Amino acid sequence: MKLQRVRAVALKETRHLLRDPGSLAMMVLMPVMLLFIFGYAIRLDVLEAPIGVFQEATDGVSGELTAHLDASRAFRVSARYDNRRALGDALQAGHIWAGIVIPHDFARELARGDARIQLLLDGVDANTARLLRNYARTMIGEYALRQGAARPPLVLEERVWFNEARESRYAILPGVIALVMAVMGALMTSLTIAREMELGNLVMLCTTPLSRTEFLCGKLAPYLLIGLLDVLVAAFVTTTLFDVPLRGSLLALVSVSTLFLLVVLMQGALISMVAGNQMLASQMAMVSTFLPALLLSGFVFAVQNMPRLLEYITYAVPARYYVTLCKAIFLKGVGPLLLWTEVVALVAVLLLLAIATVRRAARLGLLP
Amino acid sequence: MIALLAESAIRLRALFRKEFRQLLRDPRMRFFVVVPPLIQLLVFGYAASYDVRRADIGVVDPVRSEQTRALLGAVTADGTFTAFAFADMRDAARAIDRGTVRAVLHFSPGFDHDQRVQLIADGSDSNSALMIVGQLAQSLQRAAGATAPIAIEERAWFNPNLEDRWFFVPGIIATVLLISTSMLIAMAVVREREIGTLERMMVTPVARIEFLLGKIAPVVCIGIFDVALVCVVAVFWFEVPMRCTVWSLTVATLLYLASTLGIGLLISSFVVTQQQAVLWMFFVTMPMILLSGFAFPIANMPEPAQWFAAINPLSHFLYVLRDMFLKGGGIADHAMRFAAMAALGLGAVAVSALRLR
Repeated sequence: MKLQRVRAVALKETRHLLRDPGSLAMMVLMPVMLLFIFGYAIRLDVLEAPIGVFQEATDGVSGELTAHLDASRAFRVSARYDNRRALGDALQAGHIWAGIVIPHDFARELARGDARIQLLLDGVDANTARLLRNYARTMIGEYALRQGAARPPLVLEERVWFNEARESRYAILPGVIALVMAVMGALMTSLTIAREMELGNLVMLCTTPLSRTEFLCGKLAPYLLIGLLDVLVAAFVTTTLFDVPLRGSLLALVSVSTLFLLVVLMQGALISMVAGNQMLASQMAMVSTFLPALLLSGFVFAVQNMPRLLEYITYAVPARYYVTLCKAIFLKGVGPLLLWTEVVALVAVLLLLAIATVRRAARLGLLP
Repeated sequence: MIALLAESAIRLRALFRKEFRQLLRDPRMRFFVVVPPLIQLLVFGYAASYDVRRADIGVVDPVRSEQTRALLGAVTADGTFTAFAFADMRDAARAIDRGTVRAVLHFSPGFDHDQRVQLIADGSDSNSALMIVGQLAQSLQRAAGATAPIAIEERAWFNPNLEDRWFFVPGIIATVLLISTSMLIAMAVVREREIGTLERMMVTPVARIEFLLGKIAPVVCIGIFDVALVCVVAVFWFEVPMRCTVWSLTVATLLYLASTLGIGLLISSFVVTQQQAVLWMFFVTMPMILLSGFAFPIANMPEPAQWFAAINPLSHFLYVLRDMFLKGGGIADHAMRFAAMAALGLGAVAVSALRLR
């Protein structure tokens, strides 16, 4: 392998990228855009959800309960109804997300210690419904306590480590970096070799002394640099604009990211050669890298919540290890040394992919 | 006039044959029309869940009394939580760091007198952490003999078991269509330009509108095929209820297809290479999907994101789809949203047809 020839291919590819400043800008801006969307626009918790109340009796006690719910951060009593039917219609039409029915004998039953109320939820968005249900339980429990109900027997101290403010943003943003890497790395490289094959340039390269490893290294080098730039930009935006703490070291983040980038670049190169044309390559890259990175990596949907079979499948998704590492480095402040199993898994995947890629490259017709 | 139309019909037939062949000639391409939608459906159907159905938790119990053992038994009774014992908090903290347990139950050393328990959850997955803490707290209190002073009778309408699947699966129709159809059409046009066959097309008697129709026809067929495929799997495999009529679903799909094709064509009108097309597709579809309410509720978003949702055909289609599937609504119930989809679709197609010269 001659460095000079690798450099020539890398230079050619870089020039190719530089000639199209629009695309280059997009490759650098994409992480920022994704981080903004996830950082500003996306919340998984509920704030001021509109709920409707139907009080069968207009006594003070029912009114107090309604006021207590309205005062919470999670709910806003947006409408009161005077019959069950109207409440149901509003729920059906989507005007309210939940409805509460307080029966006419509520005050009397509460004094006796066995009151009941009805909570109707719009189940279309199951997660929001579950969150509302949990909030409603807490709020109603608090209210009962204030009315002089017996204290619950255990004293529970609830703590959410690494994320005391319980901001969903903290948990999501480190994972966005993984998503960005998977997209940029695999999608971009998947097109580059397929393009040469489609345009017929590869046949010309066969007549040169360029070997296949030199060709691959040169092709991938510029994308590795862009990817690393993306990581730095993403880390900067995450920590400064969105105040997510970087509790581990930047060095750990960069080295782990380099490892993951190499994996996705190899994946892209392999896809590119298998597909042979850009249209197919882009579809294959989407399905084999982007979707797993979005869904099977534990980025938003925890791997441990999935059915067992699917959980085993996630062991084959490189993004899963990277997301775990990213979250640990950002939030927990632990390094790759404690999570060495994840690092070993990434290295193993990288080796497998490298072997497969070089073997597949034999079919390109370049010198060995 | 009639002769002109007849000639045009002949050209269109030739174009249709060419486009269909070109798109479906490659067996791998045929594969990619069927398999990715199915994979997306299966993965979303099974993987996309915010609900905590099982979790490994650590237990630090320096007391080891009758009561703590009984509490632990009650917490793990329904199989959701699997408990692992740790000698002290340091070991347990390490397990949380490594991610082997998602929460820790820490009984205080003086539990017999003060009845204190610490519940610690791993906040690097905040949604699960909240669910786990909530469930643990509830089952602990209940096991310790708490009775709720106010009983809450809970009923979830339209989705009685609160299955995340019922929420996600209808939405997949919308995202699959967006990703596959707009990408296919953009690539099909740009490919001709990149290879240089678009210029050759210009010297033939084929009119611009005929060229576009020729490109659109196979993609529309693939789109409708994909919708049918996803619906069949959703209803028969995932048992998601489909409470609407096929007719209203078809109308909604066609209106939405106009927008996705318009977006693809619009992108193809200003990019030169396929690599650029892919990049642009991503740049446009990612925010569309993320801000559509597909996985994250729109109502929680800040105002500007909600304005974007108003002009995002995907968010209208998603709303209509979920409502039709789960609540059984029809075209009349969502006239405004259908009108919005129609306007957006026609607008996108018109602009791109003008731009593609």
